[in-house]
Amino acid sequence: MSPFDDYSEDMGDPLALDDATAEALLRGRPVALGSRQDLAAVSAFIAEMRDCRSAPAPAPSPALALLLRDDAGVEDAQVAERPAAVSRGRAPALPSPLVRRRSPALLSGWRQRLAVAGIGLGAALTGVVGATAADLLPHPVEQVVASMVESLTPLDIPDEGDRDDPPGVTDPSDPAGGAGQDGDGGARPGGAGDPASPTGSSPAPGGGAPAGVSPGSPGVPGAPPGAPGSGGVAVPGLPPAPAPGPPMPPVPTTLPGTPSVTAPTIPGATPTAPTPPPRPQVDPSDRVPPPR
Amino acid sequence: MSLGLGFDDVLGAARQGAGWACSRLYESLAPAVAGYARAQGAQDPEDLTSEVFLAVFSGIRSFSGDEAHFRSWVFTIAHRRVIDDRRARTRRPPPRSLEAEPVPERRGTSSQSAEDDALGAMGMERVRTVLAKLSPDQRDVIALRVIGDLSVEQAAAALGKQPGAVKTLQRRALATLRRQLSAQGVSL
Repeated sequence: MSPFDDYSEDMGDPLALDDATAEALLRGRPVALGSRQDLAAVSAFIAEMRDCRSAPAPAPSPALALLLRDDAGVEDAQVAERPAAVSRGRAPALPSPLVRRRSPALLSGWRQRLAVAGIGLGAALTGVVGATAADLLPHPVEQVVASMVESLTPLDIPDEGDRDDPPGVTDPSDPAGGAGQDGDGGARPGGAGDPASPTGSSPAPGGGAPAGVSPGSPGVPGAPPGAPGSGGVAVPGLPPAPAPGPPMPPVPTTLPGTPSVTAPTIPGATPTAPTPPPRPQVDPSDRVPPPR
Repeated sequence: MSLGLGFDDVLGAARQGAGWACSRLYESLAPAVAGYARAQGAQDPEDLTSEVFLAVFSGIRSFSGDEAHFRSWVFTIAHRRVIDDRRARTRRPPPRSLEAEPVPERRGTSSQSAEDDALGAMGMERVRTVLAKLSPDQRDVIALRVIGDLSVEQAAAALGKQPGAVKTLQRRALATLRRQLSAQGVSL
């Protein structure tokens, strides 16, 4: 119970005021005091309180004086109000909606939104281009993005065909022999690749060669891809390889990762091309797609 | 001071940012607002009055109503500023007593004589001394009803209370004043 709580006295006070008397006192209306002379002092005090509002208006603050000028608008007062409010450590009142539209602070807010939108758009574009480069998007989308990027920038994004070619597969449209043009096809694990070489793997009719075996004639410039005796890996879109020639004597295969051994030349074999110099073994998984 | 029949025109011009209209509104209500701030023991009543009217003119475009509603709206803002001032004073290190607080000198009262100023200051000081005996809620109700000239319903809206609660508070406030003034034997 607070020291101001006089509820208990209000209950049983014989001099308690009724609402009508209280209203008359507060409104300054004449009150029939009669036996209530105790209210005369209250009535006089209320009259003195009322005089407090009859004083002249106090001088306005500089910010308000700026607003009260004849040539001042509400917007000017908004600009002038902020330093005064900040100097007293209070938050300024919210401006009206019309003022808010013209507020420089909110214009900068729009700029901020535009900047955020620009950053988001840039991040999205970077993500799409990155996903395209990482081959994570569906092929049609990837083609579209790759074409846009390649037309707008000097970047060259490898498409799905570049990436999906198994190592050593010769593009039939490439007269130079595709992967064989660098001559490393014969250095496949297992020594596969050169049909003229006795180190070539045993022919696999129908393309049954193990992965990583070059089906064409790597290392043999000018040899047609899929020629008889070529490895026999089935390439989609290409006719099946014809039946192989006479079986070659079995040649021990070389395990991947082991040092390459130069295959001996079989006497009597048709020398179609000089045997490429031995090259270090290359893991197929480490191969980088050839530049286009 | 009441603007009467020209209130709508003045309000419309003030909405457009006309300085003369804002001046009319300020002159009509600023004395009462300043008196309300003084009666509540505000630290700087004149500055508080200016802040109230800056807030009023900032939001005047969204206001709609007659002069009584406008007055009620202005005193609602004034009451909130007084509450802010009261809270700020309680946070400041040397708390100043409401009774011991000197009445600040009035600014811009060149039309009044020094004697009137002195009498007004003495009367204001007495008013503040007596009102300090009331609880904050009772003081709010009495000040809004007498100095703000608000009705029970308008005071209730400004204070966020029910009209019945306002009536109870004003009845108790008057009873307290009666006891205080009788005990002091002060002849006002």
